[in-house]
Amino acid sequence: MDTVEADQTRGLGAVAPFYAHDRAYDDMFASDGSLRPHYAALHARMSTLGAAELAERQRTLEQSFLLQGITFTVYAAGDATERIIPTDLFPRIIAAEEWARIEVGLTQRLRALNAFLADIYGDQKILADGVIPRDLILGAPSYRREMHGVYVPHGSYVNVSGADLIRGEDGTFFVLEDNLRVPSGVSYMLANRDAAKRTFPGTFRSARVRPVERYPDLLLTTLKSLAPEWRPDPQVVVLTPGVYNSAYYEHAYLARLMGAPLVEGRDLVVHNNMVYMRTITGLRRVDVIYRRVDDDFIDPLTFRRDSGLGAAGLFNAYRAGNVVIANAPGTGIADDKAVYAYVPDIVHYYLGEDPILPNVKTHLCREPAQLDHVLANLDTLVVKAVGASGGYGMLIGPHASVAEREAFAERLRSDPANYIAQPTINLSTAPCLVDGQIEPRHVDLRPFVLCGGTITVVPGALTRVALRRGSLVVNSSQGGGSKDTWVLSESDPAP
Amino acid sequence: MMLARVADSLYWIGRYIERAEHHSRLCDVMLTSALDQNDVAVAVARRAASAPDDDGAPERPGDGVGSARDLVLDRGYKGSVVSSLSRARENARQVRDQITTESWERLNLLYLRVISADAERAFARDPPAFLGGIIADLHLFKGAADATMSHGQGWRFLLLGTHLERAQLIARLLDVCFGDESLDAPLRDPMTQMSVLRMACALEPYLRAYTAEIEPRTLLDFLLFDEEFPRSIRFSIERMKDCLTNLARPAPLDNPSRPERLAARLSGRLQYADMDEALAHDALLTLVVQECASIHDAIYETFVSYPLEERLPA
Amino acid sequence: MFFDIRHQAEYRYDAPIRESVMELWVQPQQSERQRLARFALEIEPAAQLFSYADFFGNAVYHFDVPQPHERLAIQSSATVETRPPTEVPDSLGAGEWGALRGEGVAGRFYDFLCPHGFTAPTETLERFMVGNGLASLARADPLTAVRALSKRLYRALEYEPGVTRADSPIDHALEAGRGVCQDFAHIMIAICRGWGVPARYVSGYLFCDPSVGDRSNPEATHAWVDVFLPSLGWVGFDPTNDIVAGERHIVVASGRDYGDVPPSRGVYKGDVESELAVAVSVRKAGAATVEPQFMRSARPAVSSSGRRLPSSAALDQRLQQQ
Repeated sequence: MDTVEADQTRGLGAVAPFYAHDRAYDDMFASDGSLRPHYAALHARMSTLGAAELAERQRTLEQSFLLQGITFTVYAAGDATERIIPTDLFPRIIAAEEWARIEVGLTQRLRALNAFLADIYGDQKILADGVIPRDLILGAPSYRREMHGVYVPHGSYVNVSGADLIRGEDGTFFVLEDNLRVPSGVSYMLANRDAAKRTFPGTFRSARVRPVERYPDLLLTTLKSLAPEWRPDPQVVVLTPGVYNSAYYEHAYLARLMGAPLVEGRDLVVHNNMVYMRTITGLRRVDVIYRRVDDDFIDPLTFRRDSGLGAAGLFNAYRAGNVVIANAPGTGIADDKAVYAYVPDIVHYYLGEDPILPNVKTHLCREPAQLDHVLANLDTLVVKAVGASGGYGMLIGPHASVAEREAFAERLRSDPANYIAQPTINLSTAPCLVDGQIEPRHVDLRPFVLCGGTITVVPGALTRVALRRGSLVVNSSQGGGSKDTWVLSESDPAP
Repeated sequence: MMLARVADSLYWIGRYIERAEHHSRLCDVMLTSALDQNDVAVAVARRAASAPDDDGAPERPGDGVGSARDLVLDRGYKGSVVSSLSRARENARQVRDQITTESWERLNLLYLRVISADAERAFARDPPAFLGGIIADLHLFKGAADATMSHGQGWRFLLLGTHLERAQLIARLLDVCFGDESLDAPLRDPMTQMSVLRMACALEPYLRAYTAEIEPRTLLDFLLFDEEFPRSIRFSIERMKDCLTNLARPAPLDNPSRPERLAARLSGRLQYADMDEALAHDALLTLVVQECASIHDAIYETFVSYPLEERLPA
Repeated sequence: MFFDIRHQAEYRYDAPIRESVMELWVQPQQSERQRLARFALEIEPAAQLFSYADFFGNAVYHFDVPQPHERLAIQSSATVETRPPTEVPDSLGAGEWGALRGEGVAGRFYDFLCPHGFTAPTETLERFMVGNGLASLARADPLTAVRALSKRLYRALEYEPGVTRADSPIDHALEAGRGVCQDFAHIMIAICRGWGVPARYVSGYLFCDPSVGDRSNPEATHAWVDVFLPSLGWVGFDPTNDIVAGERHIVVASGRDYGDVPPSRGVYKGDVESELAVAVSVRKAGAATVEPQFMRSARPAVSSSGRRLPSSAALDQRLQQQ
């Protein structure tokens, strides 16, 4: 099995550094070209790898993803094609002390955001105290008035989050987005781990990498902890929009590994304010719904009338406490791109603490003075639509043409409240295998946090990679790939 | 616990898998028979490959390989092998959490192969090898499912679909041979008889049972009534009966159209039928087809699209 | 005053539908000015009723009917005692505008100051305001302005059922020059909010008295407008009948617009057309109330809902699988 590791004959070259990098922080090499210590073992391994062997490994891996059906579907011209998200073989390594900071930072942030959600769906003190402009919350479509006064177990509105972190040029981790609705990608974290273990078994063993494999049972425990005490053996289900959803593979994967039924809206029926699923023998009660369907579509009675993806009456059953929906409806307001700018204030307000993980500086175009600043500096800023995600509806100023910037400026002026702007962050880079060469590519980091009665930061993450040289866009819909992320359990692993 | 939708998908995986395998075999025999210039066997295969009410079957008279290609690879024709495989795989994707990775990967691999750009070339280069590959892969899928899936409710629905489809397909084949007057008693010629047995994957088991002296009467007897051959109609009906008895609800509904009752009735009918009845035109074959359709409906009414008000919790 | 109210809604479907789920905003409110002495709600086919209080504090009932049915009847009856509102003065001081602009009002009534749904301003509304000289009304104090607005609307638009639907945008009524109580209320709310006066949509019943000039349909539900004036609190205006909402107005629910508080709304499975017939009767009652005789009427009015879902995919899709 250890064929790659055994091949010592023709390495990619033992000369370090492998690549010259620009001002971006690089995971493997310090700016003076020296190797970061926690990369030493992997670096040694990489130096001895055969290029052809690696390419072959890469092909085998991609074939295996295709075979397993770890794909997303691209619809074009009436034809559906299944694509895999490209995976890079080299793991990204995060040292133990760095991870410790991420862990406490994400825990702090999620505590604050849950408190924020409980407040804005309750007494609205933060609005009364003028910390956040009232209309920013009450005027946002993601603010769900229906959630007002609804009991949420443990006050945990967000049960699964997948924040996007990035490193600045000095290596500091920033939170770029909180992703509190239905974050996806965890199946890639697990599949990538599987692949990396097979590719670098020896290095993996000696590096003392913290395991991520328990994610499915941690998720199940979290979901069960949300059920009321009088339902001692709660029935948990995963609600998917169906096979045409781009994350369907992940929905089926998590259902399979949790041993929970994967249901679609048409499998559910609400009767006398209880939620049931249709089985071959009749109706069976459902207690906890891990839904991978957006708020708008979970209940045509309460939300979008034209939705066929949810179950009519579901929200009323939820309001009555007869079923739990995870994440709670209405969490989208807390990861609204404009509300994001206030998260440091939210942390201060509810916890009385300084945020451990900083935000990226954000200009709210709804404020006329900030809009002027944004318009004057479009060539250096990234502008994002508040309501959009997945890398759509955004402008990367430094990479855009003059015409593109002018067109975007027009959109900004006509609907400023819909946009925010941030400085263009030169995302950090990590070594990737590109056409048989090891080259730096920009990456971000999406760790997953589970929150029921307690908060668990899973020690691993999905590292997304912008595969095009120089590109800063890591979204899979925009040509991004992914790689495994090793969180080390000790700062200085044995070689 | 099994979701009604999941049972439905597993049932259809069974049906589409069986359909794909049977049609691959029909095409294979059709091509061989065309080489032998056995026009009767070609006609039998062609008719057996189209459903009685089928209007979409591509017609390419005079071009054996061309029409076989269409029956196998035409994605626009819903009766083609590639269409059946696509639907089987689509259903499998919908219940991906219910079938084992081992089974899924067999099916997915086959699917990826038949829809790939190479499929056309591979088929053109060597049709029998291509078709044999499909059949072998489907056997791998069935074997993997048998060896890795729990033989519980889900498994039974998969099996139900397989055997219901198989009984219907074999009945259709026999109906073409014995019921279709326009073919002018096709089974007189030994070459055709062997081809028909091949279409039912029955040649070798038949020879062991009856030696190489093939008679239309024994051929019909074997494919209708044999208790041990897994592609005889009786065998399939017995398996359906077993599955349905096992799936029956603990408190039986007072409903005369329960599927297990229908299957048991058909099984009894076949058990006590005699050859003269079978040969007396196609009444028995018609009965099999009709009863299979009734069982299909009853499966739906009992397990899948039952009236909600009858199953409300107390 | 005591009133006995009966409100019947009957949905008819041209083929059986199933898994109907409905919500109802039909229970008269309890408030300082209104006491609910009795309330009963009946559903046919029989269904278990559940209730909750919505975001705006209204009582909502809901139920489901799983089995196939071609008819769904909802009948509510209530006995309500109303008290006269406090006297509304002729006018207020000019300082009232300043009080309205204060952060207190903006904070408390955000939802009743923002355009929402049917109350969003449109170009047609803009033209209507110019054509009827409505903008200049706001030069007076807010109370005078709102009162004058109610009168102008009453004069500018005819009351005529059947021209618009319960869920029509205001442009339909503005272009036709006629409409029903919802249209009057939505138009008035849009203008009031544009002036910075908090305004909410009120759904309820009116004990009609044609002798004083009421023109709304006595056999339908009614809708009017509450506006908030800092020195008076909420004051009801009924632009359909050009009166201040008083003892004869029985409040059921209030919200941002009709969409927040329809008498009934629901979804069901089945690809069929539905028809809704509504009958309302409001009668004066003695303190010791006797069940009034109810005259059934099939005149279609108020409220549409029963939207269709794409019929259950499970069944249709499977039949195609063969």
